[in-house]
Amino acid sequence: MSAVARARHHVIVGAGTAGLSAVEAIRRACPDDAVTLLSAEPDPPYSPTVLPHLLAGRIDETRIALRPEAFFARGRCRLRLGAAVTALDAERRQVRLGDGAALGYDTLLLASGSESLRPALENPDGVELLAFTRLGDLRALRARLHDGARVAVLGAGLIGMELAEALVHRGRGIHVAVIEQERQVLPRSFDAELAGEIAALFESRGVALRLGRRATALERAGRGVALTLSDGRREPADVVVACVGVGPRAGFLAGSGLAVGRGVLVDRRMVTNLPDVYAAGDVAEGPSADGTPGVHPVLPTAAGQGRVAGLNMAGRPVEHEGWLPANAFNFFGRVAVTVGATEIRPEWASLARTRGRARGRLLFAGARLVGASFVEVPVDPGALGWLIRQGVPAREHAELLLARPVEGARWLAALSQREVA
Amino acid sequence: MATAALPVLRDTLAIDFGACPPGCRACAEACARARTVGRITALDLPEVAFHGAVTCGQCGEPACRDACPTGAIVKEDAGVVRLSETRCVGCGACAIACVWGGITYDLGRGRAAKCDTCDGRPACVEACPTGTLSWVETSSLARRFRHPDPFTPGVGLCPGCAAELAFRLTFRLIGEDVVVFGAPGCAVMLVTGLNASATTRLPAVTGLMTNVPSLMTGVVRQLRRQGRRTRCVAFVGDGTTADVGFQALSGAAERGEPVLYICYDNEGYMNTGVQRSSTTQQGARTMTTPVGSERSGKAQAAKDVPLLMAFHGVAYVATANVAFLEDFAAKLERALAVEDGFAYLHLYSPCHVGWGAPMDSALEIARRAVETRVYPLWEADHGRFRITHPVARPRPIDDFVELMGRFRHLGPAERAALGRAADERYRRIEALCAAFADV
Repeated sequence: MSAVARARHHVIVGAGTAGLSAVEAIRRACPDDAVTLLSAEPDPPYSPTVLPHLLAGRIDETRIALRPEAFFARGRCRLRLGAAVTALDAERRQVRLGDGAALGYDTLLLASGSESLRPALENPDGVELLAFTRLGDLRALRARLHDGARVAVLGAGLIGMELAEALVHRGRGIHVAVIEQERQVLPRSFDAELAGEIAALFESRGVALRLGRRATALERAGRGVALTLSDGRREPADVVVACVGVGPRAGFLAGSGLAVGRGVLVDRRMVTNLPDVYAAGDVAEGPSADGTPGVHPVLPTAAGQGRVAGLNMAGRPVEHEGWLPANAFNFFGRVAVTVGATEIRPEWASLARTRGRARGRLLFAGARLVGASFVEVPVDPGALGWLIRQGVPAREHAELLLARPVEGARWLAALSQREVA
Repeated sequence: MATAALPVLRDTLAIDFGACPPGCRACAEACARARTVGRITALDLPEVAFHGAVTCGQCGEPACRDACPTGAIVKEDAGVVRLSETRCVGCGACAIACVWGGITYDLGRGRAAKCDTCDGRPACVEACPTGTLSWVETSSLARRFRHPDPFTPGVGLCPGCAAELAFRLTFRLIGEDVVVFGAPGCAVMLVTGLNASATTRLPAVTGLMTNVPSLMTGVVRQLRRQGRRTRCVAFVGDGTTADVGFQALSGAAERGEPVLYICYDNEGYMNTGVQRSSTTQQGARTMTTPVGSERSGKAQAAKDVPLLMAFHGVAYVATANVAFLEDFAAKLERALAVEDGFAYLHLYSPCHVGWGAPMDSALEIARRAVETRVYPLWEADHGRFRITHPVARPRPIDDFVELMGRFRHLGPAERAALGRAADERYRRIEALCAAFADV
């Protein structure tokens, strides 16, 4: 028997954050192994996070590649663009590509990301509904944006609000209306009070918010289109962009025997129910920090899950710590950060501090910090996340954490990190 | 064979929380002056009587890089995790991903900022008035241990063996123009392998325990006759060196043969089941120095072989220790600089198996042996004695003794005696340094 393990072939479906983190991990653990990275996109790997920044003109397309070209030339990694996967045959250990060819694997990572959900509305005229999750969507939107254009955004979630902000930032007389069925903007990210402030900020910049209503129908009207809202009112527009949410891009896996719930089901090692098949990132439904499973389509989660998947594919059993809700928002220069729980439970304590526009709120379950949100205050979300994950007893230092969040959180984190180390 | 050049951390910023005074933000202010945005956070917290600083540790596998959506964060080959501020869109994903306080989010500009070590000349270190911050250069080690690893895959030693590490590093520094000499002992598996499978990629000869220096003499003289300067290096244990082969060693040293003799000292015959050797520490339990009603470990003091070798008047003698790599590398280089004389290195190499210690403890034992004065680090370069790692305030002897089962039976009085003996050993070398500093 040879003393050296045979070099293996790892196939990664999707060249986003999760897929690339897996490549980095495999490369460090098993530099002799070959990796094939399949991307359905024609463009070099990018993150959809950049789309609003591109639209607003804060960055251009030459500065968004997730890795330089040299990265793919280094070692045994092959990047194939425009290579959509159409099926998985786990028994034969191969995936089928759009051109009909089969590609064999020793281990497979599904990191195909998410896709926009289609809103449920009547559209008898077949009016074009744009999305905002891929570079192709951005290019289509740009082509249709003339000066003074009326843009209707369906959905006031993160993508919709970032799109609205970018359109305002772009200027040129563009009118933006955001239609949201919940009674607040960013319903899954902020409590009602903070969301109300953010809504006021958008309205002061000329964004029309139609909250508590949803679009039920779409039809042509003159040179433009018109939306019918659930309260019977009509919303005229030139361009309609659906941002009603994203779901795992897992359609191509139908019939493969893969267990799929809200996403591809994985355990803490990112292992699916099929042998040597892993999933990570937006497509995966994995454990959260407290163990409850869920899809968590956010960058740091994709990066962490991708890394864990890569290490396990390389033969190193490592477990993901579980995702923790955490988000940073920057709307019109106002920065809001949330880590952990955003909604208070009756048995928890809430401590807050307000100084002009700056405000912070901490949620405690007993002595343990379980949630933190700050607006217009410099914070360290990573250090706060550490305190929440580790269950560091932080209650007695709540005043310090509210008054000096960066120093307080880094100090508490450093103390417990020393103990862990 | 993999050739992927993996990023290696070369130099690093070290932060000693204990030394940071209250009311001082000199590091953060200097950083802000040098870099427009402070990338180091001064933790000046009188409320909880804590003072320190936190900044990026330049991770090997940076979570911030993996989370960045624009590829703005790169782990450079030289070790720095660098943020391109023209690519940053201020999304904050890096600051969420980093739990170590390595990323600063600049509210004013809506951009991330992080330490780039000022490219090796950190302004915070220069500004620190107390030495809380220091710049540790390890790049010299990476340059010194520059040759390929001398092993084929599958080394047959115990996991956690310090001798394996020492051998690996020795030949990563010496290189491949070498003949390695071994003798029966643990390291014979490093030198010539087990049965038909070789372990080193280097030309290697295994002699008897009695005759290694004689064998080296023949080979080096023949090489020199052919006009070749190929190094002849012995890597053998303390049984061969101090007991069985001491006559041949003493003879070759006295003749001044141009070879390098390295004794890795694990204080006993470890591969045959842990019998005492003449370098075994007093009081240590071995199979032949048991603990019971009649005996309490080894009765005799350890033979000080490096000192005996120094009094042979050879060109270079030094003690070394795998827990002090800068010191070890410098001594290997000085030993190699001796082209036409005898050089001797005595390398302290804890055997966690024989010494009754956990698998991951060898380096900590080695470190504490120096810090408690049990094993002084010194050299005698052409007769000039010098302590290369002074230990002004030794740690208590218990810090060393408690790490190993072989001393578990010792009472406080016996432990104190070990401490006094260590102190005497150290002061003997100090006295030699004073007497022979400029021979």
